[in-house]
Amino acid sequence: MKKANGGIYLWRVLFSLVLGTILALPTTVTQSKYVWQDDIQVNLKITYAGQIITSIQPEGHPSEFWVQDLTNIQATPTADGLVLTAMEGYMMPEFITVKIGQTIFSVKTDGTEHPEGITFDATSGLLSILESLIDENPGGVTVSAVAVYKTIPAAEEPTIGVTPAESDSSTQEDTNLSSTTTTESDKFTETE
Amino acid sequence: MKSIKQYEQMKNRRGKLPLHVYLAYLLVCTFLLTGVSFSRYISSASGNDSARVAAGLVAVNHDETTTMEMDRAGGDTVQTRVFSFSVSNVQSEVAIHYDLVLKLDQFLPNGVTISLYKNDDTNPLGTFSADSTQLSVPNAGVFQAGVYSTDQYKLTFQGDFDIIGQDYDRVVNISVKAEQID
Repeated sequence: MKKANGGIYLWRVLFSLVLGTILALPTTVTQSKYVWQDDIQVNLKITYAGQIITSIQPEGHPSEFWVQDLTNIQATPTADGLVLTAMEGYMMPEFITVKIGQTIFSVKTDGTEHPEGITFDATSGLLSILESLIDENPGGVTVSAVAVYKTIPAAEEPTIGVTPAESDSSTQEDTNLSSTTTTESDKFTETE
Repeated sequence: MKSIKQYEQMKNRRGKLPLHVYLAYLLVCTFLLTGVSFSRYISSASGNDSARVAAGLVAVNHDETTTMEMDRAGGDTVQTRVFSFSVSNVQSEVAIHYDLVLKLDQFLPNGVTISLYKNDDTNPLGTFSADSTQLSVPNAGVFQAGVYSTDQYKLTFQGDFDIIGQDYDRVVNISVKAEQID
């Protein structure tokens, strides 16, 4: 008797469930809501320090702002920077001195060491300076370098004692100056 | 004390439920099923492509270039970049409203402003403030059912290199969140 009653209850519940489902069907359709989302990612890239001196006299700076104190070195302004080339019979010194405002920077000419904002390409001889560095150190820019006289090995030079036309007394002085410059450049960055 | 007749009646009634109990069962089942039907259909998509349609509701189109570059070299002191995108309802059969939420990965540096403009409005819908990484525009647009419509937006990036002092990278995430109107 109890079993029979339990079965009846179960069927009644199932019947209600089915009926409820049928009644809920229209509601299901009409009350569904759509939510939708789309995302776009936009990147902002700001480059501030990418500007290099493209000429020894860039726009906005007077010519006297720039000083070249170069001995036996030819300087050629190009679109990429200042190209420094040692004259015939000379080679570039170990260091180039760049004075920006009151700050002196020493740049190794083999390209291995350079202060932030200044680079020297040993292959092309291109000297580049970031303009931000000049802005931070107002007062003008002076590029100084003294080429070093090339000493020719005795074994390869049959005419020992004959000095090239350039190797006069001033050349010897230049070499000494170069040595001095190198000594001054022992400190990577020096402020006067 | 119950009589035998009353006892028999009670015995017969056992197994039969009153009508209100049936209705209660029915109501509970209906509520249960209706409650399930209220659950919403959600779709999410990453919008690196030019157009996307989800569930036939909303389409977002935007410029192909999603990287805004400003370079101090060779440019003006004050530089402006514009990113355009549009939101349309692709003739949806339901009315839709949507919100726009713009999020920055970091605070903006000094000298940089980002503003959002709608259609040809000269006043921006919003501008990122210096101390905020989120710009929300609730109810940015409403689309009527069955009526095709498109809203155009412009996100302008402006940089003043008299103020900007170094390199910066920022990411702006634009979310278009659309929902069917009841």
